Amino acid sequence: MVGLPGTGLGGLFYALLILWIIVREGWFTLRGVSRLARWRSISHFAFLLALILVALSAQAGLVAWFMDSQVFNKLVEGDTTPGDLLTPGLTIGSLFVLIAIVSGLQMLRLRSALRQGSVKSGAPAILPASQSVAANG
Amino acid sequence: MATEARDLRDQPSETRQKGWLFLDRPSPVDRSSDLLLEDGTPSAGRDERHGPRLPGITAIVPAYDEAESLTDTIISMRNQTYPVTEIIVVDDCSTDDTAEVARRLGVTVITPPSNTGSKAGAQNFALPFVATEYCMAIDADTELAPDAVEKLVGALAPEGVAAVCGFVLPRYVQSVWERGRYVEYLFAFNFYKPIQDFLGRPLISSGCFSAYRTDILRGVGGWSTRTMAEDMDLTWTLYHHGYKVRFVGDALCYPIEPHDLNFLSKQLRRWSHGFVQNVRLHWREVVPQPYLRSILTVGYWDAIVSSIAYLILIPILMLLVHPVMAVAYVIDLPAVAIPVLVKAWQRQEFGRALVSLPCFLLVRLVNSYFILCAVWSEYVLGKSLLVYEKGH
Repeated sequence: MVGLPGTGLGGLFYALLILWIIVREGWFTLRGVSRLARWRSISHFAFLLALILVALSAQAGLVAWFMDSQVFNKLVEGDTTPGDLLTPGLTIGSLFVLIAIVSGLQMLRLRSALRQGSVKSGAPAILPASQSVAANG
Repeated sequence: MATEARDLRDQPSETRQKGWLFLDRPSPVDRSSDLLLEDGTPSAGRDERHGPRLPGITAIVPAYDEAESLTDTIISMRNQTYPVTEIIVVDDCSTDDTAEVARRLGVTVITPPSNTGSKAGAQNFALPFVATEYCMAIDADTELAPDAVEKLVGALAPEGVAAVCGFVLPRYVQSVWERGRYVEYLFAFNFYKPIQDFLGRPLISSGCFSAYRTDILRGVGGWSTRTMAEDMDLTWTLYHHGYKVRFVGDALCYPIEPHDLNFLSKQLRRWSHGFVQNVRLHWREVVPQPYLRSILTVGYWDAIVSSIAYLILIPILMLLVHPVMAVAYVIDLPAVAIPVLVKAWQRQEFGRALVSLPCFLLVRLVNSYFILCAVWSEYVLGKSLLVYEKGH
């Protein structure tokens, strides 16, 4: 999102969303309710995703090559290397966090659905209009 | 206020002063007759293009000290392939000659009795004056591509669609901050937003250029002034009421983005606080919304965690482990660069985008600072941002 940092977990999430979209649209196609225009959009998403994966793989290869190189060995002395931290473990960790977030949301949704009958949730205004201060400029 | 506004509408060709309200509405002009196609026929008469009847659309332009940029905005609306029925400039008690510039251009000018305090306040002030089926919010520093309105109106036609927004790109790409924002926009509007739209849940209908069904907009109370991000608030309110919001990637608009750190800070402070305020305000309504809840939660989590990583964790690792840990700042650059460069290639701006990529990394650090400040202020200190400051 513009104005907000972060593409790590968000990027992974959108990559998975694209995969989900392909599976979902495939199902719609089998049922005869898909449209060609939707597949056109999907092909664009898939194209971007493929390029991103290629670029990330190239970067990973470059980093691996750099870490094996003598230049890097001169830079880093000791047992701990950035490679220990910036490994596929980071990706797997992100995936687990993502799964935890989405699962948590689903539980929250279920809880909300169960409580819907008894509790009517209304969003309170945290900033009453009268408190808005005239300060343009 | 609404009654008084209606009374004034009945006598539109005169300039009058009624107590505190100034309304300067020129004689009604059918702009569609100005737009001639190659064969000399008015564009509005082309049923095959727009159907048997063209829904009217009114542009609301909130303006505070926008004399310099307003002319370009209005001219770009005048040059649309789809006629804008009326342009209403809300002169929010400017200290420059914004109102005079607007009057010279022959658009309707309304002036509230005192500064409304926010963009939303100015927009709401104009809403009772809208007499068309559709209305459009456009910032006074935003230029439109010639077919932008046509593209938006087309997407607004299906039943249930309450709002549509377009593709945003900075008009000027010169300073480091503008370049960083340019990359952010190319990435968000070529990757995140189309996916959100495909799933029927664009996260925000951007405030600088969006179109709405007027009756629905009035029905939900217009633009709320309760948060610093009125566009986000309105978008999520529309979802809550069961309406659809669409993103149209072909509808281009070009706002002026902050050119220095001072203005960027004001804008980011507002956006960050607005985001946090809206999450606090709407989270119960968002939870039942398919896809929106995941898009929002992951984005929120990502923003906070990555901010902590960029500003705290990575510097500590650089100190304690090794300076080469700085590579973490650019580890995701390929993922960002691909959608940016693909879109830039299509726009024949590949070189500009490539040169601008490093600026994105800097802007991201600034974003991180402001989102952490906003979270700290809103949640921990309990201090909500109440003052609306313009980004330029």
